[in-house]
Amino acid sequence: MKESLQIVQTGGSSITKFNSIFSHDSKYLLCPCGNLVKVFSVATGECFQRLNGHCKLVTMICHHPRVQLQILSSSLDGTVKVWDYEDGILLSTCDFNVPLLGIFAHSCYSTVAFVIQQSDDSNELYRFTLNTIPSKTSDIACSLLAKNVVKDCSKRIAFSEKFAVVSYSNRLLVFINPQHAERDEKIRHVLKDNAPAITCISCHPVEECFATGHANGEIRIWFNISDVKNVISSIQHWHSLEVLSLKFSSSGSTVLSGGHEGVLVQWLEDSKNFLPRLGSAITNVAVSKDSTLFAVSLLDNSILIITNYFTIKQTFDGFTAIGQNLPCGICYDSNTNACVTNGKPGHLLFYLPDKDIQLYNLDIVSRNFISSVDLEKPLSKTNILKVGFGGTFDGVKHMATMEFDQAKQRDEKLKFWRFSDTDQQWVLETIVKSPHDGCGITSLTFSPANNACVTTSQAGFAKIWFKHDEEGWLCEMSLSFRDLPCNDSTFSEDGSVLALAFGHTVCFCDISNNEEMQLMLSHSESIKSIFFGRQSCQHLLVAATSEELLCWNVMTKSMYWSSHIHKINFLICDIHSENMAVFTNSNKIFVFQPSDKQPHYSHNLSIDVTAACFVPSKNCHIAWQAKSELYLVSKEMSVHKFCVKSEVDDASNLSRMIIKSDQVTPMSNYLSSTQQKTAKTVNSNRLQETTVDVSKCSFHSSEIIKCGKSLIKFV
Amino acid sequence: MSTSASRFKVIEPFPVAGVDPKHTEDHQYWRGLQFPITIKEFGAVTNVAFQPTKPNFFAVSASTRVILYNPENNESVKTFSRFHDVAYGATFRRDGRLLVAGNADAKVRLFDVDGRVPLRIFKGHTRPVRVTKFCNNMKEIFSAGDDNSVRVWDIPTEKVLHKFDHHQDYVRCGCVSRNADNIILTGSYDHTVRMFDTRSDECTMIVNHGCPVESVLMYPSGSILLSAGGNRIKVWDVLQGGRLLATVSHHHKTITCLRFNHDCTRILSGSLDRHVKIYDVATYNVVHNIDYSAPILSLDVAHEDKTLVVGMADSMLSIRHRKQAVIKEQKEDEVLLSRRKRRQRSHFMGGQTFVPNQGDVIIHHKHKEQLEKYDVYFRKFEHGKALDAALIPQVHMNTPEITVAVFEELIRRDTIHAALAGKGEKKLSVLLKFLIRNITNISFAPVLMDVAEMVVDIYSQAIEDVPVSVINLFQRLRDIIRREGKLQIEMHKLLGCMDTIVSSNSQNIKQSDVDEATINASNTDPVSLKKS
Repeated sequence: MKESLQIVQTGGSSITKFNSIFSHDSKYLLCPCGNLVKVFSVATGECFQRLNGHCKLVTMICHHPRVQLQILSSSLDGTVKVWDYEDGILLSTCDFNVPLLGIFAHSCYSTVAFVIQQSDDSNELYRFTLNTIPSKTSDIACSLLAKNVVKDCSKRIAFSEKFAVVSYSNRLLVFINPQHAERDEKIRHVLKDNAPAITCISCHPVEECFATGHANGEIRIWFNISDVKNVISSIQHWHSLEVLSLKFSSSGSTVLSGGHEGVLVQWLEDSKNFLPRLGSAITNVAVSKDSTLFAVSLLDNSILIITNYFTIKQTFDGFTAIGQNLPCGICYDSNTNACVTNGKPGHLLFYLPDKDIQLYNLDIVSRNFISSVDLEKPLSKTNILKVGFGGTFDGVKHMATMEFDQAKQRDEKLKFWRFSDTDQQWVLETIVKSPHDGCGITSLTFSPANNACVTTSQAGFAKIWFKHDEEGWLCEMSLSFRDLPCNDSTFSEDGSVLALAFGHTVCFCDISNNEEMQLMLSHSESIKSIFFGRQSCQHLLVAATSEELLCWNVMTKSMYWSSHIHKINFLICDIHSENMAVFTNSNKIFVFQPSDKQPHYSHNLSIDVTAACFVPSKNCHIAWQAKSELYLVSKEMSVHKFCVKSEVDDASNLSRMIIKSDQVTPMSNYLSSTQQKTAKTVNSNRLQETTVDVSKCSFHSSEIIKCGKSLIKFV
Repeated sequence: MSTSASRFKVIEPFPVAGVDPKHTEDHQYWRGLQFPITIKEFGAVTNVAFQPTKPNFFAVSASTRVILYNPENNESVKTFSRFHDVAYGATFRRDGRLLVAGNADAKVRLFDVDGRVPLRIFKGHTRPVRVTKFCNNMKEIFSAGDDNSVRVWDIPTEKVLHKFDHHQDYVRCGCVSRNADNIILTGSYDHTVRMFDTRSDECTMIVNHGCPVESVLMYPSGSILLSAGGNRIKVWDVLQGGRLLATVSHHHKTITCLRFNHDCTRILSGSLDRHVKIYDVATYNVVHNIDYSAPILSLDVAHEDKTLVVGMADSMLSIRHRKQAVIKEQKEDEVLLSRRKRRQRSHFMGGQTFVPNQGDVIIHHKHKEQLEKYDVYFRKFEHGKALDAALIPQVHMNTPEITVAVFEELIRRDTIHAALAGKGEKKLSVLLKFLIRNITNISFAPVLMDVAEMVVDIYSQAIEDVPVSVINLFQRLRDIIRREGKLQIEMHKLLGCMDTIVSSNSQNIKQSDVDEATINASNTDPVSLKKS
């Protein structure tokens, strides 16, 4: 009896889509990430806790108005949950049955909180009492405050000690004393017709004043807000583009703003400080309670912790994949055991899927981030289209990347990299300028037998690059076949045969002996991708057209089997086992071995898969994943894997596993090992001291016990 | 506050197609030769020879004189002008005290380096004498010339000792073996190199070079000889009876002279194609190339490769001295470095011995990253100025790839229009000259064509305001692009021809099923197949 499998999210998702907040003691940064709330440690940069409980996107988090160590979270699943973030415990749930877009609370209003409920035609701001959170929906005492709230509400609504501001595109709604149902007072300010739209808002923590950011880059500070007629606003203008985020410092003396320029601006009374080149547009700024730390969320899914004297203290990276798809797919790098895919713009991301940890972002394109002058016409970016890893020969491992600016149809570069053992980093070896004349590269494959690499293009050329000691990588062969587009290339496991898919034909050649192409296998339809079988299936070649999966026996030059599959999306191959997996556009997956027409496993996925990768692992409960696990990346950039039902709970409790496991990243691993070593020695010293202390004097006993506790924890 | 979140990524040079010239030790070594000093002679410089001993003068045979130059100050020390016709092939004796020169009046003259009047005049040749060399024993000389004969003379008696009449045509070069007293080597226009042994009066070895031989050279060991003629150098093994070891062909015109460097590890060849090429004797690969302005007739290298003298057909003599040793350069570097260090030290003296206390906050001094001018402007988003900075002569002449990279960055930033527009006459002409110079470069063409188009777009609207000089430049640019277009069409035609030849070729092979050897042969020579 086969165990039924379930698909479980293990990582990914954006950490910068919604606002993140500091804990009161500034030790932790909490941010909504998919269905989770992640608690990052500011000191170590590691994910310290995952608050897992919502079944849909968490839209906003805020501090509990009374209890310091608790937070409230709102989610699209219609619930507000109360968490203890240090221990990771879900304390209570309040179900609204309506998708919630945001939650607000302020320490001054101890009994109430505010939620934004999403209804069909408008979003509405409601007030509810926090005192006793009932479990039944009908018991929640809600009262409506505002209607038709703008969708991106978390930045457009701000609360202060005495008032709350709800901003629309050209008007402001100020509520005085919003916590009291009886005493609240509504004031409406309407901007002039030609005034730019409001994009974000922040309240002064103490005074009756607030600041608004505008679409043209203006920042307006509003005073005397209780007076409808004589409201005073002052305009500051530095940003050339839309202000995306705005925050008063906790003392109210400075304002921080950020926008598309990627520059953090600190507005002082009569001067400005700048922190340029953050790398991407700033979507959100959070300020710690003591105003010493700022958390700047960037569009490229990373959060920077910046000290108040503008140095970067810590970086938290989410699964920084750009846009909606991964042009270079996912590759497995055996060196670091990581999955490699597109990261920040122009970067390659090295990601450990089993631990949901980013190793690093490798800068491939090496271009400064430039914000476009006109938001309507965004600047085109040079993307990495293909990446490939070679085997290790003479102790050197190679990587090749292909970059191209698709919008401008220029800047096509093939780069070859070498991993330097001494520096422990990738070193650029060769740059090839427009290797395929901008004709759409289709594949990049390294030979497993020697330092050779094949690139194929839509224009119908397969170029074979060899490494030379002095000149670097040179193209030694250029193959074409009847001007048909070359769609894919694959090497047999021993590297002796290269197969090239030209249109509907597969050609073979032996690149090491420089022979002519030979033995063609032909099919009626255009072949999209091909893979040689591994291990016991080395003689089999699997090819995918858009409607059919084919398997040829290369030795007998005959068709082994073929199978009709509707709308094949892509085919992947596990290099460590015989398995292959094929994904369809209707989100079906079939896992099969080339030697057998019947798939081992087929499943209807609930997510839109854009890329997938087999990653070697040992402890797995699924038979066909004995050697390697299959990880999937959805369109929403969340990472998933298959789990046995019994394992699901385990996987959902990943947070605890992670904290316990010391292996995090090679670097922090190394650091933590050294840290541990030193820490251990220190501890043993302290142990001796404490024992001495105990023998000497008894009145420090409580401290000693504490010390002992921490020791126990450590050991 | 001058902090920033990340380093400014500077402009990288535009990758240029083709393999970068390798920077080998040879390159550095021969780059060490300074800018040439040129001296105008009265006629084509047919021979240059260095004095083997101090003071290492060199003798230049040009027109009717032989002039001695001092390489220290590049001034003539002495002129031997007692020639009645054009003097040829002046060479020194091994001890540097005697000098012998041939003459177009068929006489050979022997001079004392310190004297002026010929000590001996050897009469006997019937036609101009082109080659005169001292034999190894210092008491004899040999001469050869247009009368096809090679003669060996006794210096004290002025008598002919041996006469070899084996050559069928003019003899234009010769040398003696350095380790054997009696071996003479001559190369002639009858395509042969002959080796004579004065003990037997016989021609002991003949090799056929295939073209008129212009220069011969023998290794000090006497086992290998080199002959130059036509556009190739051939290497022969003497011990194996003249077996051809290698053929080296890197010039595209006749090679006129061959020389060893001081320790015989490199060969230098000068040619009518105006290049001096330097070869490694181990591989016979070219390791360096030096360009000259006129066809080269003669060259010689001084002791320790200190000076390279090249004589040219347009009667110019070029002298290149090596920079006074690398050691001195290092010294200069050290001086510079220490000066810099000293400056730094004087700046940061205070922190040298300071030991911070435990609670102190240590703030490290950050050295400001040095950026190029155009990078600074790019950082400040001043794109027009960045373009101007990339179009100063230092940048656009020495490193056009940087200028092209700046263009590309401007295109990437979508600010190229703004940067190109509104240039004055001076800047516009610099820009246009840069385009004219580089637009035909294959690597730069894609970017520069776009830029040129934009420039034309921008300035064509106000063409009446543009000065005449700039309009001329526009016309030149147009002509160059037109010419390049024609060239491309021609090239495509040629490619098409070659494709048809190759494909018809491969079809023939398939039909006839010939064995592999012939396939290769026909593949390498498609033209011959077409003819057949």
